[in-house]
Amino acid sequence: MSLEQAKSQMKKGLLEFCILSVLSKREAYPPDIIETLKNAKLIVVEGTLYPILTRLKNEGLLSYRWEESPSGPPRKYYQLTSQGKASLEELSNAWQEILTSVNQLSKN
Amino acid sequence: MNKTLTINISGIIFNIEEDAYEKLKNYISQIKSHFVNDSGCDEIMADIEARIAEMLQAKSNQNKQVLIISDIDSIINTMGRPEEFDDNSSNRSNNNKSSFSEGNNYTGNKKKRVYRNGEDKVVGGVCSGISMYFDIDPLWLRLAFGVSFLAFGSGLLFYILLWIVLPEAKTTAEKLEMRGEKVDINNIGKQVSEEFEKIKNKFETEAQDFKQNYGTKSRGAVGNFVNFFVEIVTKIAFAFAKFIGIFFIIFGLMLLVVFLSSIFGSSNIFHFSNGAQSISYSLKDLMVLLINNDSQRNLAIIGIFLTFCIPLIMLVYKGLRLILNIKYKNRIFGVIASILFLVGISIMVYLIADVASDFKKNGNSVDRFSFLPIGKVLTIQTNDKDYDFVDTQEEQDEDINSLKLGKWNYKINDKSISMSNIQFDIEKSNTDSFELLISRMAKGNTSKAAYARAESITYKFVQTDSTLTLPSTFESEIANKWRGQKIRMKLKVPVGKIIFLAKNSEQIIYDIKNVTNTLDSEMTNRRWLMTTDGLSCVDCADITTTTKQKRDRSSKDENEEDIDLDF
Repeated sequence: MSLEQAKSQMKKGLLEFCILSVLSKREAYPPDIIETLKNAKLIVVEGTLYPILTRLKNEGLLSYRWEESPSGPPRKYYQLTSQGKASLEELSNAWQEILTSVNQLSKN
Repeated sequence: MNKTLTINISGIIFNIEEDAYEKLKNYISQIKSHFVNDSGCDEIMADIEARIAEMLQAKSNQNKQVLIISDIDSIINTMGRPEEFDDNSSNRSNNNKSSFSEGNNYTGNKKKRVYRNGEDKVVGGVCSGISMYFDIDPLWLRLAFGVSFLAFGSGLLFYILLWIVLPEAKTTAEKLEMRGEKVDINNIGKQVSEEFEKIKNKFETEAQDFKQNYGTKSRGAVGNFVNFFVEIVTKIAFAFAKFIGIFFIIFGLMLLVVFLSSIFGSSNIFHFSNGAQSISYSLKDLMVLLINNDSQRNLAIIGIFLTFCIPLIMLVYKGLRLILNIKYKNRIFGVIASILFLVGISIMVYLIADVASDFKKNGNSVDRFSFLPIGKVLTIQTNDKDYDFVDTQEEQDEDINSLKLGKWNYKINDKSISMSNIQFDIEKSNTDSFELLISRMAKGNTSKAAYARAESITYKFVQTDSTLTLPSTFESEIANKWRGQKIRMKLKVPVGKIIFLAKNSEQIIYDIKNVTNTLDSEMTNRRWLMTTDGLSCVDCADITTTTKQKRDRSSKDENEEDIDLDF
């Protein structure tokens, strides 16, 4: 596996976690989330996001409400459900654990 | 000057140039086909279209009312091509088997797929991958395959086929797919009901569209309807294909085992039995009987293998493709299989021509034996003890080296083939002594070869006192093969002598002429006197076939006469 692939696999695994994290701070509509993720260099194209959002919503981790837009069609604003919050907490614990062990490993 | 079109995306109206429209349309349909297997397909499409509309809205303003192709390009750049959706980098496009793994782990449709598991493999990772799919311990599969290797290598073939058919799980996405959800009855049930629900929903929306569009755009709606039914038919055909696939695999594997075991082992592959007639032979025995030498025999094995097993292997291969829903094509495999098949056919044609040429000429070697019996009655019998038709048949069925082609038996021994193609006839002698004529006959590609082959037939009769014992089989060296060897005997009986046909002579006597036209089977166990007119029965008071006797007979025997008429 090439270095690029390894990097992309890592990012891919963390994408859901990051989306949940972004939404835990504020309600957001997809372009907002994309903006944040693009700044963090976790995502390249917008199309990646929509299927994940739909899946998370179908799994009950996210809910959304419609809001009229000044320009263009109405927007979907996503927020975390209580189940989503619980999942996020679990993921973030897991992430911490991984981080600690990886740090330890790479130091030794 | 360019033509523009008016389009509606997510409820917003845009003016767009024709070429830009084509590009946008293609792009959206690409995305749609990318998500078509996804349970949330419609929703994802709606979201993406809304976003596209929003971005296009930002690009058109008072000064620039028409969208051009560069606008679409910039949108595609932001949104990304469908192949970029799954992975952030381009690793999927590096993977030449990408068409195989369309259900990716992002789309929420966690479909399980069979891969070869390269991480835990003994040979090719086939067993490991399959056991991953069914969530069982690979050890059992490996054992099963190991055992099937012993069954004339049929398992080995199947294994190699699977190796060719199944791709190795290389990317993480594929490995996840390989592990996937458990496939058990519950999940299968769930999947089926989900599929059904999807079709139902689709049908309802399709029906609504039809209602809405009817009258205004009836042609388009009818077109949609046709498409919809085409889709349903495709789905049904798809489910049906799986059944066919399973059938192909089972059928193909069974025949493969049968053929292989018949070529390399000696199990009888054809066995027909209906009362008196029974045919059963194995390919191995047939080859011993027909094929000239070892190198030709090896050729025959290859020929039979290629002509019969290649199509069967292809059948199993197709079956596997059908049930595993494999789309990527392995062209080389098909081409190689076709070439091998043609090679097999050519070998068979060559061999058949070669063997057939050995049947061109006849050879006939006749021996005369004269003798004078001591008593007045000469008994003719075969060497079969306790001859009983039914018993001998059962015996032969158990004997795997025995072949029965129609009426005649062929038994392959260590050095010789024993054959039963013997016919015995009786005629009037012109001299005072008995005379036995034995014709040994065979075929060959030249008259000389045929004669030599006939000469090499071993047949020994025994005459003691007043008994003539004629064996019911003769021997021919195994190297001589089966080339139409047969024995025809004629016993010349002087006038005034009596012949007794023992019960067990029934298998060799053939169409013996007699004054009463009695059938061969009726002639045994009776004494026959040679008269100047021919054989006449001495103790046939109870028999019913003569016209002479019929005249003598009283009318109370009418029942028996009816039976005679049947003859």
